[in-house]
Amino acid sequence: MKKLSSADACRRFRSYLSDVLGESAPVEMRAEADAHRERCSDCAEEYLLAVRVEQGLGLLPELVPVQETGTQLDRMFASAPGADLAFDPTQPVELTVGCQDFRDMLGDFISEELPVGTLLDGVEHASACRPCGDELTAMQTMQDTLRNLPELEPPARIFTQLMARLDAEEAEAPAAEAAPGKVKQLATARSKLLPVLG
Amino acid sequence: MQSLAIMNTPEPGVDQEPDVVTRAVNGDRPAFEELYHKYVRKIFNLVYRMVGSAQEAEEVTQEVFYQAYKNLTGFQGRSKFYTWIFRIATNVTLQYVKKKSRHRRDTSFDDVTDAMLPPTGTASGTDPEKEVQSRALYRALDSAVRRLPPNQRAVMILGPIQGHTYEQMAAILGTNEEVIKGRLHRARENIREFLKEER
Repeated sequence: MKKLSSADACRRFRSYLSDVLGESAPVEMRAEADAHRERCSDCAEEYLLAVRVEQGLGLLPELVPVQETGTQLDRMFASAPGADLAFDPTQPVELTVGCQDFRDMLGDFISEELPVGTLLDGVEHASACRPCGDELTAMQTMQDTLRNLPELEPPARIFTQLMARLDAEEAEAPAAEAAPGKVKQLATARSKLLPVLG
Repeated sequence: MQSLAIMNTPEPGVDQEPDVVTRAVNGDRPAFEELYHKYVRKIFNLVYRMVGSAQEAEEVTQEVFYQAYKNLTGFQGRSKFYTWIFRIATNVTLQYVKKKSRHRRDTSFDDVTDAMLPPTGTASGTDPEKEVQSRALYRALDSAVRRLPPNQRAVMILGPIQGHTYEQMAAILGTNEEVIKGRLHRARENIREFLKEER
């Protein structure tokens, strides 16, 4: 995608971005936004990010009740390739992954713990079913945010204090070895108890 | 919808590990130091998220490695060293959290400061409104994880935050994958509840 847009067009796009996201923008404005995104990679990226943030903060939505199978089928067949092929709507249709199956597998899906085939079935379902797609986006946003939580740098003093503790103990051990009878037993018992007692 | 990569976090440098582990088990202190440096960051952050304070995390992390050193001779290589040391870390930390909650009902956590949060990487890079929103999301999730019961907190930290697989988590926590899945599911549901409360 080439960057063809002028700075003004980008500014204009950014100014009505929230209306477009909030679905309050008129049709013409949406069309203009879509056309601009086609031309400008920065704004396209900005839009995608804004969608994610929007979903993230509207995030963690109420659980969406699983839709009736018929509604899912309507939506899936309407958008599926070959949707115009004849089929008998009165006959039961076997779905690879239904809404309930998808919700059941969502945790594994997010954790990337599914076999490739099942994963692709899940992706297909989420693409065809908006409530499940939204649910997946919210969970994915949560997952991504958790994965990016900051890590602290462990202070170097943990190491120096640990080494000092081990040195002290090793210096003590030969003394215990050399001590006769009960003194030796007491020294050994003490060294065993110290870590427990802290 | 974002594309999903099938990716499990690899255990860091395990291929080169047996030799250094063997040397450490045989009492070679430099080998143990090498293992310390390899794992301290992940373990310190695991402990920090569990106990909630950097100062306490220092003490507990030191105890984790102290216990590992003292018990090295008991490491028989039936599990990977990586799993073994993470098991010690979670056991010592859960023990500490339990002990602490017996003595003090409220758990005090460090505040998350803006300096501790990673850059949010917005495309514009300078949109302050988006930056604030993204930081709010980080904060909300961070504090929600802190409110989880210790067992659920442990799986959320090991899995979604640190990227361990179900199999690795089950080995570390000494349980099976079904239990891990169940805990993760409950943890995610709890987080959603906590976030709803904050909205």
